[in-house]
Amino acid sequence: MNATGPSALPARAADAAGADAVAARAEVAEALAQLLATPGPGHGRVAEALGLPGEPDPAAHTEVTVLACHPYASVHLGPEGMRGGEAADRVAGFWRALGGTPGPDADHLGALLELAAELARREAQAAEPDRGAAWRRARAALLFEHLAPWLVPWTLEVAELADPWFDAYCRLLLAWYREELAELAPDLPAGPDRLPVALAAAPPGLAPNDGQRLLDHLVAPVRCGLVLTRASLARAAKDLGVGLRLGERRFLLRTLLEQEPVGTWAWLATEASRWEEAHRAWADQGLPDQGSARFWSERADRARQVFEELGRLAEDQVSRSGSAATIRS
Amino acid sequence: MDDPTAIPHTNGRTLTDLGRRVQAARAEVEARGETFYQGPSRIHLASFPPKERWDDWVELDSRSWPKRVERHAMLVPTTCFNCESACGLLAYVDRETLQIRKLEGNPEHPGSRGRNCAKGPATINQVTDPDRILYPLKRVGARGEGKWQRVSWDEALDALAARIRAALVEGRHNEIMVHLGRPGEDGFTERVLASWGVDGHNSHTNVCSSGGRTGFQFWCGIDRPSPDHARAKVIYLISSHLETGHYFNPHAQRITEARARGAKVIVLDTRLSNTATHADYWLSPYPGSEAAINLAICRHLIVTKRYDREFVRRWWNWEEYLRACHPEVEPTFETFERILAELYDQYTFAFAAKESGIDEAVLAEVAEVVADAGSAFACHSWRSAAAANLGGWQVSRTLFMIAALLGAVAKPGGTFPNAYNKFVPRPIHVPPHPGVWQELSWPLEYPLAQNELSFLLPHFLKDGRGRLDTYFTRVYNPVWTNPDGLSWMEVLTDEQLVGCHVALTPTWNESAFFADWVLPMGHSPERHDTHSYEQYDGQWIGFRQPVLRAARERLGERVTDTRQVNPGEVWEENEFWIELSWRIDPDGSLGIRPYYESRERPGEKLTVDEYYAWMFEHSVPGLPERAAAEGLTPLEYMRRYGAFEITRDQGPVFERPVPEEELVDVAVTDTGRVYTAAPRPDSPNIVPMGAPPPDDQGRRPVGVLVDGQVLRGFPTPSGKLEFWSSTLASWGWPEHALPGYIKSHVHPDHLEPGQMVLLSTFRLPTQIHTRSANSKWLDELAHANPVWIHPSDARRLGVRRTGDLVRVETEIGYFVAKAWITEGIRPGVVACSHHMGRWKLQGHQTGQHQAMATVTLRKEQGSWRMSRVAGVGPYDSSDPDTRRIWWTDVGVHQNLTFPVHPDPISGMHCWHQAVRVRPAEPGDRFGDIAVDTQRARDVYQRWLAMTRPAHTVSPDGTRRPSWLMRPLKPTPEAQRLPERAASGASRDGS
Ligand code: SF4
Repeated sequence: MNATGPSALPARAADAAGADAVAARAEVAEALAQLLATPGPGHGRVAEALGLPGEPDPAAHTEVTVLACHPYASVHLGPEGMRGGEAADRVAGFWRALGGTPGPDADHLGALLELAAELARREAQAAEPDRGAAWRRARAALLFEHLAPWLVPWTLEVAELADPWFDAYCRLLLAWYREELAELAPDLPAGPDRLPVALAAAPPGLAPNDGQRLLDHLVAPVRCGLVLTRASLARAAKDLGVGLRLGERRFLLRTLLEQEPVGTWAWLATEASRWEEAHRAWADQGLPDQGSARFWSERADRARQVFEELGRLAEDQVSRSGSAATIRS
Repeated sequence: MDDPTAIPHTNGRTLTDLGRRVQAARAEVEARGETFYQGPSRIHLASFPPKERWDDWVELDSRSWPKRVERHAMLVPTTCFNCESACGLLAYVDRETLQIRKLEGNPEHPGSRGRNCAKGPATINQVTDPDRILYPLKRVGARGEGKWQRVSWDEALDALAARIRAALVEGRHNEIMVHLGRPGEDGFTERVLASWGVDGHNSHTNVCSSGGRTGFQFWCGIDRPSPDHARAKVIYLISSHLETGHYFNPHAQRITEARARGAKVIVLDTRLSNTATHADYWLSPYPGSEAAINLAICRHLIVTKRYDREFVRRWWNWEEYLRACHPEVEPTFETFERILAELYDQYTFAFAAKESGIDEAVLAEVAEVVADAGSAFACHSWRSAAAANLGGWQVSRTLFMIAALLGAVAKPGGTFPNAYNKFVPRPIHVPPHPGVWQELSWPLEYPLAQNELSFLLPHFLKDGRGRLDTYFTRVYNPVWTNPDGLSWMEVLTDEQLVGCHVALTPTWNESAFFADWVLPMGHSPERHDTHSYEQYDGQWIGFRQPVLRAARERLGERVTDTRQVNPGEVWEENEFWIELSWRIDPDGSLGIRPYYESRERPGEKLTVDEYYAWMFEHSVPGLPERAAAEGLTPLEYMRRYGAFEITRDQGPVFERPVPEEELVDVAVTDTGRVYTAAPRPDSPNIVPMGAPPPDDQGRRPVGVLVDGQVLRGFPTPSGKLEFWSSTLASWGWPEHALPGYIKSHVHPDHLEPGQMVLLSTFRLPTQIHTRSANSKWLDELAHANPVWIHPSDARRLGVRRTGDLVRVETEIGYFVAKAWITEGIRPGVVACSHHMGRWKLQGHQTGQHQAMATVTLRKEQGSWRMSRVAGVGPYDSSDPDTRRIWWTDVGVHQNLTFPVHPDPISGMHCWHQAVRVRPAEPGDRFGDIAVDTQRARDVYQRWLAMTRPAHTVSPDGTRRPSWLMRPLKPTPEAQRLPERAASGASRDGS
């Protein structure tokens, strides 16, 4: 740095402080990433440093990270709500563009958080301003393109499990996310309508005439704007007072609809409303990820409309024939 | 979630506070040597078992899939023995069977940081190789006949001890020699020989790195560079460092890091090696022209005044040079700068372009990149060109000149002398140097040779310069590795010349077939050694250990002899040498026994436990404290973690002021060399380096006066970086005292019409000389060494397709190999890796089956002929995989057809060959070799005639400049020229 005038000093100090904050936040990201891995003897120490309330309950950890709330970009953004496919390839391509080798779990939230931490460290340690700026752009792209499209919905689905440790974890995760958005705002695409590629190229939302594929689409979050976990379907069964069969989620949905079609569509419409509100509340904060939040909110609202329409159809059918047609997957 | 912005449970901390708190927690945990993040890392592609779980590491058994069967292992560190990098390994010792299941990287190793090349994990193949040698064997029948008898260790030890004792008692010290291939612990074998009073250390270094070392040593008194790749701005490699160079895995990972930060990589390699494919600038020079390119870059730095003037002024011995060579001028720096510019003015880009065949504009662009590096210029040249050409040592000398001009010496991202980054702990006993001089290794003709003239041994024996009573080859295969291997075979089969040949080897090799005793030595998880190598700006030691011994000790067993845990009766060298020395001198009357006695239990034999416990306790700063913090003894710590980092960021040691207490009765020469009467302070680090002699009053050199301050300086006679070498000037080579250009023996001026250059010095990334041949995974990966030919040459020569047979004719014979037509080689040059072409003689029951062809060898009218009877193929053994061998080709042993080419100054064998290549003749078969060993003798004589022997040039009546490095330094009396030679000495060389 050649600047020698007095005005250069505060700027340098601010740069140093900024780099320090970036490095500190990177540490939080890395620690959060570690806590998503299979719990081991070191977890307690990391959780304690983060100020989280003790260690996660092993069953809750398995429920969140393995069984219920799959922390993968592809599960949330893919057309079938499954791992792999184009959604995973998009993330893998990003790794490759950075010169990295994507592992099989490249689109796992833990991997993306670790990557965010690594990029932040590289930015903080870059010897030349140009390299630092390049790493910063990579950070911004990672945040906007690969985390913003699904991170908040994932925390909403984790909230469904009402586990205090994971509630605290998600708050911390969101705090990290908000600060990243704020810090990287100048490097993010501006405007409420700017969408990440994964959402701009997303498959269409729900339609009442999806017919046989509707159940498939209900478990594809990017289509319906909400995430139906096992826990939420269990709640549905309880709310509706019907039996909860054992099986995968589409099977559960089908059996709910068979037992209580009108009530189930109504329950789904309420659920969609709830998600729409949560997404809208997020969008209303006017953060740089507003486009993503709006996308999800519109998808959930569209789903509500479809559920209501299907509910009316079911109601008509019941009133006409005493029973409703079932949807088979 | 009510308020998603609130951070829970943190008492109002901000996220930055929280991050700092985690950073602090992590730092605290890591300072205790523990792992903070114990989970796998998904981005560094490294997932190491945290050391907290090394006692009981659980993995699912992949072979039991889909059943979940847990396997419990103890993780025990050791050090890879395959190449010089000494990377850390972790042996996974099954807790049920107490056998090694696999070997992976040791994350605690500061050099390799958990990473290995393919050869590290393949160590498991070497351990389980069905063809390995498990028991001591003694020859029956004639030497080389291939018949063996299993004997006990006692029988072997007693027989050898009796022979050696007799030789010592009868004053035949020079009839004992130990010849090393893969080095073990720094200085261990040297000390064994010193304790016997024998100057019999012989190394492979003059077929390996002597040329490279010579150039570095003449500059700074230390013979290896330690490039700080990770922090470099420009990395300049005359080799293929990313895949096979010296310390390549530890270096490659740091080069990769530097590249990620934007460093530029410049590679000089005639071949498109893996490294070249990763370079920002790949220069494919005509072989032997590398020094010309270096000099053109130097000239560019000089004429554009882009050199670090202050560094040159302070640290080059320009004043000494001016006084010696330009007494007529005022010795000012400005005058030197003018003369420097004149001296190097001839090395224009046009000159370098003419020599190298590389476009002038490209050279100019590369020179600009180098000039921009400033002091962050990391460079390396080791084997490659320095090991291949007459005058190859000038390649590394001119390379270091670039660093020395840039002031990139021991600066971050620069090039360090290796001694700054290496730590050799002082052992429990240090015997004095011997009182004899071994002329078979250090002949008078080569007073400046960097290392032993090892590859000339057969010729010296044939000359009648001496004989060997007992000759050990230790993890060394001279018949295969050296040029002119059939001359080796001739002397090894002649019992008049070699009375007894003992092969200490883990596996069969071409030389062991010609041994009297074959004694099985352990692989990396079966032996003890310490290691330390320059891989970044820091010092570490690594520990190699028999892992089953360490595992059993963890379980509370007591192991007193490594044979108790090794397979069969495989031993380790340390215990072997201790036992052999003890038996040579059982009553102590020869003065040998005290060096093998316990200090804890006087009169009893030293154990390896005590040997290492003493070393780690007394000679490794910081280790006792670090171990104590974990409640361990230093030895327990090393057995548990396998490595310890002693220091980081050594920086420019030469700039350190000499402390007052070392300055007693000081004398200063007119060029600033400072001598002191104060004794040398004891150092636990006995890393080898140059040892400039004392002054006339016996004061030792302690530093050098620079701008009025006494600084540590360099271990050279002048104490400075020697741009001008007074040693070369006064020992008969004044014309090469400055960094310059020597035309190679394969320079176009020296080739006959129709000759091409054969480049024979390169390795295959997944093989390592003859040691890896018993690794089935590696053999499957790489088992052939075709001849690289450029398409234009192939057309010209009439070689139609890849796979066609070609005959490659050298000065003493020819070999028949398969062609590989590729644009990856420069036109006019052919290349063949020296890594393949293993063989065993037909009719021998022993040998290795996965990578050794079966051959016949016969001598007809003075000429040897080798013909391949069979390649390799599937066979039955204890390992079912040997039935799955699908390859037959194992390459061709080209080295047999190379005559010796000893460089008259460095003593390095100059590997490149002037050859003729043509399509194979009718009747030629793949693998055929013909060699005329009489012609090999003629070539030897011709190269010998290029020397300037000590008795004609020695300025002080000694055999060799005493300051130059030498593994053993005979006493001053032994260093004096022998009477007969001295009296015949004359300046004109008559
Ligand atoms: S062979 Fe590979 S793993 Fe072993 S020391 Fe050398 S570079 Fe390291």
